[in-house]
Amino acid sequence: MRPLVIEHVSVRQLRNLAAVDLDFGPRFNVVSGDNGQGKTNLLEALYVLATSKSFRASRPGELVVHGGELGSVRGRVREGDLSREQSVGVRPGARLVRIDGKRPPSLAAYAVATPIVVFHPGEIALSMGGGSERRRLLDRVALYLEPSSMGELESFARALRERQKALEVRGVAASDLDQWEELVARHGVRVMATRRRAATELAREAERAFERIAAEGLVLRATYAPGAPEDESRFRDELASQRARDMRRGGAGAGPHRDDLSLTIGDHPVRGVASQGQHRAVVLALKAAEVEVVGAARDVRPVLLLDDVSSELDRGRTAALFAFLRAHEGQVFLTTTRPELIDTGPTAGPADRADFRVVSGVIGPG
Amino acid sequence: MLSPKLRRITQLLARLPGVGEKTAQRYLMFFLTAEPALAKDLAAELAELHERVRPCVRCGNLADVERPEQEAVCAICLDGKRDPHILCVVARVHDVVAIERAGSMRGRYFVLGRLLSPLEGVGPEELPIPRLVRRIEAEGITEVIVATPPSVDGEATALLLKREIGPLGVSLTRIASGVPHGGDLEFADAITMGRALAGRQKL
Repeated sequence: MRPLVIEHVSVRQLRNLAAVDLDFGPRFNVVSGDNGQGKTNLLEALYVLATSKSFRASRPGELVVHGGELGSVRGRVREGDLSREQSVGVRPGARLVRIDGKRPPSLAAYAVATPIVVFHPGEIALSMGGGSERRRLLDRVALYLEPSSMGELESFARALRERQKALEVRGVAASDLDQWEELVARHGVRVMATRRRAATELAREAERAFERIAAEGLVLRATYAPGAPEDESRFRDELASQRARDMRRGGAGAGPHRDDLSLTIGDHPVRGVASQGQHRAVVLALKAAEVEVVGAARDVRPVLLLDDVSSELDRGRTAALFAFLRAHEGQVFLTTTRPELIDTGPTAGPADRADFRVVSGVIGPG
Repeated sequence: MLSPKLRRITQLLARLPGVGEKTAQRYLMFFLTAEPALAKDLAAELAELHERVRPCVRCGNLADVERPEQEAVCAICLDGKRDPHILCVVARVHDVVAIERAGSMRGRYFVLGRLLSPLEGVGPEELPIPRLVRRIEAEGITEVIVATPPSVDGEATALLLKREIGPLGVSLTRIASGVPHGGDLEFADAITMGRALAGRQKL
């Protein structure tokens, strides 16, 4: 796989980063500082640069400095021998993205240009939580496998909301329910087909990664569990037969919004039986799989962002994580309160490891 | 600092789509320095706009009327060279303009005025479907082209029209969706490209 490196970044007015201009190394970039100084904000800025979205706020406006109007991240990204300028401007209600000064055909096209994978403490929900975090994982991967998947998901969600509103306002006899259900099913089965592909690819890599990380003899299985029949006409029939129930509940009981990636260790569901350490190993296996699948889809080594990782893992698994990171060979950004604990292996200068220190939104050499 | 009168005109101009405070001031300064007749003529036209332009009673397109009590019938409905058997159903007046630009629609139009969308308070009863059905029957229309947009609401509206008009026995078609003319394929977005492939035709 070809290397992918964020060589330079300029951040303006994003959270507590008023003006940050940094050059990065091609391997480990270790960002240290006390809590609340802006370490995660820098990772977030890099994630915004690569995807136009945050891994934290759902609304782009929240990213902008309080009182500021327009935040921006600009960066130089080198992929193989070619380098490009990418920029994202954020203001409440809008995002402006450019690659080499030109507008890409869609936000989805922008989001897949620079594969990036973030590891953050909240992702323990991938293993311990409900399905939403796993559906997001499937959709992130699906975007690389099928660029139209984002549009299909939006169309599905819109049709589903329209049907629900029709049920709410005019009841089960509303005369347009057939039309909405046809569209829910049409877009829904496409969403499920792409997610199934994503799940199959992720499962293969996650099962393999888990073997390396977890104790001997433990076997992880990941399988796609669709939230509705994957056949379009059967899905439609199901929707039509459940109108009364869906109206009472205020939401549809069947659909890809109920999808899951079901996880088992030794035939037992991970949720419920796994230990704290096993949950962490499952998360690491899923993230390693994301890196692998997304990288293979674009034939580059994705950039990795790790937020406050050492605090989250016990020693054995920290070793597993760093073994994975060293084998990755791509660019890695890490934040930590204790840089001396970050074991990046033998280093021979900034090409192997560059250190940065964050104090109140100002970032300098570490 | 603008005088109260100029400020008020600026505020009114800034309500136009795509016009902000600065552009509004530019327009205002332009009116002040150009021929006074320009402002007068425009004002006179705008003053009687709502009395003189109304939806066409047959299709919903915009039509000029001489007197307020006159029945509004648009130029397309009055055009005797149009094929009276073909009817193109669109969501908004803008869409008539867009299709007319292409110049290849030989029939007449029917403007729905809105799309089916329970979220925006538009159910099937809010659409002028009975009027459309009556027109198809009364005028002996044989082909209906559904040109609602390729959005979720546009598709749902098309499906509803299929259910309501299908039984009338007319030829019912939906406009295709695909890659733009003259452009390189590489610039087509993924959804458009997907639709173009799904709707491919035999060579």
